[in-house]
Amino acid sequence: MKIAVAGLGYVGLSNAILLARHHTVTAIDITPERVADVNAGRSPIVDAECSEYLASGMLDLRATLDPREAYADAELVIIATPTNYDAQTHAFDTSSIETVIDTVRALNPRATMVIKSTIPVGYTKALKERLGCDNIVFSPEFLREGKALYDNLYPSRIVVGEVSARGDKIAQLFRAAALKPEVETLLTDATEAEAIKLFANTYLALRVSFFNEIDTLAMATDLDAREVIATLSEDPRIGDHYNNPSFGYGGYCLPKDSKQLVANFAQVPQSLMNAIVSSNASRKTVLADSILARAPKRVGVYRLVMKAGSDNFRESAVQDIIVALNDAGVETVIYEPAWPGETLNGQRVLRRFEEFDDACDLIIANRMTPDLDPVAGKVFTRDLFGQN
Amino acid sequence: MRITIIGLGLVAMSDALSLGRLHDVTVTGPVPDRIEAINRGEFPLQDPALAGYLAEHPVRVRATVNTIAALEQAELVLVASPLRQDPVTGQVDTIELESRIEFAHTMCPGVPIVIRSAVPIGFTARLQQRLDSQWLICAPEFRREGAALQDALNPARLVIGDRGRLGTRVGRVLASAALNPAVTLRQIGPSEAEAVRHAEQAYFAARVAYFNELDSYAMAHGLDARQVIDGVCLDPRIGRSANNPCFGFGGQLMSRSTRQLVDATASVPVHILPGIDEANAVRSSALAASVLQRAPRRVGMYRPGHSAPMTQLADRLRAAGTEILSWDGEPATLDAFKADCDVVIAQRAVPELADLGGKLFCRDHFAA
Repeated sequence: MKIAVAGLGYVGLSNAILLARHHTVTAIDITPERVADVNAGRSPIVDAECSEYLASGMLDLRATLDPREAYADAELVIIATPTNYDAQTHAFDTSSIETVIDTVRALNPRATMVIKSTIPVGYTKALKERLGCDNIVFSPEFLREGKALYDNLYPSRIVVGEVSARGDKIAQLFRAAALKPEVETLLTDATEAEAIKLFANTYLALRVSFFNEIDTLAMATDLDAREVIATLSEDPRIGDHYNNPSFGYGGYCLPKDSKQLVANFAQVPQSLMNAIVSSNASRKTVLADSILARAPKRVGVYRLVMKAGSDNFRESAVQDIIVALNDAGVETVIYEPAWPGETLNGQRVLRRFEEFDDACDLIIANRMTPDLDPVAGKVFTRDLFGQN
Repeated sequence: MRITIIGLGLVAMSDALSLGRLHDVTVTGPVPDRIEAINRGEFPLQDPALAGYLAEHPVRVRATVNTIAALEQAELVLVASPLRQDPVTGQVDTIELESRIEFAHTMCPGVPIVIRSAVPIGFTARLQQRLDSQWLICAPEFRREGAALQDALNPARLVIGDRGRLGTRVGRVLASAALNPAVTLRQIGPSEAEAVRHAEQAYFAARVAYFNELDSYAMAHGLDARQVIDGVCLDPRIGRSANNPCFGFGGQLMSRSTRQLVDATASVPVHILPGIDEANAVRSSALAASVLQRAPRRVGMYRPGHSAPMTQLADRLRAAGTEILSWDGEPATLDAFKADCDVVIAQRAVPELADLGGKLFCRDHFAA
C-alpha cells in the first residue's frame, strides 16, 4: 500500500518507519533538515530504534518537502503534525492538521486520513461535520518519549476511533506492522477514542501523584518512605510500577493531558481531576521547601531531562523547583551534557561533572545514577528504587 | 499455643477461625448474643467459604464475655476491637481501644500484644512509649467484607510493624493461619505499617473514584463510558480490575483510612488524599444532576439497604423536591414499585429490572 506520513516528529517518524517495513511510505515535513536526515538514513530525533532502522537501509521510505509527491497517489495519509495546547487559555492550535487535510483533499480527495496528533476531545466529529468530509479517522498514539518506535513495534494496544470495516482495516494495518504477536485492538467512536488517551494518561498522572503524596506524608511524619511504598506495592492489586517518588510527573503528555482533561470537565462535578493537577504543583513546593531547609548556598541541578534517553528539557518537573529556589534567593547551576548552550532560561549550564560538583554544595536529582555515587552525601533526591 | 483475641468483628472472627485450625483460640467482647452464637459453632461472619472451611477443618475457638478469664492463660493477645469514629469530625476515637490494650498489658506481663485494628499513624509508637512496653506491636490487617476468611487464609503478604525479633516471632504465628505456609513476612516500622494499611485503602478508593469521575464525564458529555473504560484499561499499567463505575466507594474502611491520611498530612499541601475524601459527595451531586435532568416526580431506589452512596443520592433528590420510594426486596411489591416510579435507580443492572428500559438509571457498564 502507498502511505503518506505528514510530520517527522516522534509520532510521525516512528509510524513512517513502522509502516515502511512492509509498505511504500513517503514522509513529508516542512523542515528541510529533517527531510535530509531521513533521506540520508539518520534519525532527526533521539530514539535508538529509529536510528537503527533508518541506518539499516531496509525501509521503503522517502522523505520530501513536496505535498504532491507525498499525497497524490497515497491510499492512506497518517497525520502526525504538531498541535499545541495552551494550558492557560485552554486553546488548542490544530491548524497544522487542518492545513494537511486541505492539501490532501485538493490533491487526492479519495485518500483516507488517520489523525495521530494529539487533539481536543470532540475534534474529529466536529471537523468532519464542518468540512463535510467523511475520510477522517482518529487513532490515539500511546508511545513514550525516547521509545517511540519501540512502542509502535510492541504496542500496548491499538485503538481506532471508528466502528466500521474501514476502522478495522486501519487497526489491522497497525497490528500487522507490529512485532508483538498478540496485540489487543479496540474500535470505538471518534470522541471516545479521543477521551481514552486523556483518561489513560491522567490515570498514570494520578498514580504518580498518589505515590508522591505518600512520599510527602512520609517526609512530613518522619516515616521510612521506602518501607511504606515497597510494602504497599507488594499488594498485587497495586503493583510496583509507576510507584517511585519523583519531583512530579513531566514530559510532553501527562501535564498537558491532565490539564486539558480538567478543562474539558468544565461544569461536571469532579474532585480527583483537579487534585491531580494541584498535587503536581504542590509536590514541587514541598520539595523546594525541603531543599531550602538545608540552607544551601548554591544548588546544583543534575540533569534537566526526566528520564535516561530523553531529550525533552522543557517539560521537566525540576524546572519549577529551580524557579522556586531562585525566588527564595538561592542560586542554581545546571549540569546537562545534552544541552548545547551556555545558559538555559538565564541559568548557567555546565557540561563537565567535576566543574559542576565544585560549583555547588547541594545537588538535586530526580533520579539517582551511578554518576552521582561518589557525591551521594550531598545529593537530594526522592528516588527510592533507582529506576524510572 | 493459646491465643486470646479481643474483639468480635470481621478481623477478630477471621483471625479466630484461621488460627483456630492450629491453636487454642479464645475470643472476648461485650456482646453476649455473639458470644453464645460462637460457642454454639455459629460464627458471625459473612463469607461463602465459611461452611466448607469448617467442614474440612475442626477449629478450637471458644468465646467469653469475661475478659479477665480470657486473658489469664494467654500466650499471645490480638486486639481487634472496632474503632469508633465521630460522625461529625470524622476523628477516630481510640480511647476505648487504648484502655483494652492497657488492661491486657497489665494482665499479661511478658505476653506479646498485637494491635490488629486500623489505628491512626503513630498510635502504636505513642502507646509503646506511654506503657513503656516492649511487648506491644502492631500488625494492621485489611480484610474485605464478605471475604474476610478467604483473605485471612490466603494473604498476599503479612505486614508486621516491628523490625525486630518479636516481630518475627509474632509473624510466624500469624503466618501459620495462612493455607499457604510460604507467605511473605514484611517487617517494617510500626508507624510505617499503620501508614501502609491506610494508604492501601486510599489507593483503592482513588481507583474507584477515578472511574466514577470518568463516568460522570461520559454521562455529561454523552459519551459511551464503556468504550472509554475499555480503551483506558487496555493499558497494562492500568488494568481491568475494579473499573466498573458505581455510586461511590462503599463501606467505612476506605473513607476512614482516607480520612486518617488527610489528618496525618494536615500540615503539608496535598490534594489527592483530600480529593478522594470528597469524591463520593462529588459523585453523588453528578448523579443527582443527571437524574434530575429527567425531571422525575417520583424516583424509586432499588434495594438501597444501608448503602451510604444510595442514601446520599436519595437525600439530594429529596432536597430537590423529588418524592422517593424504596424497594427492599419484597417480591410481591416489585411490580407496583416499578409502575409507581418515573425513574428507578439501581447500583447494578439486574435481570429483574431489565423490563424498565429507559426508566432505569444505572451506571453499571459491565453487567454480565
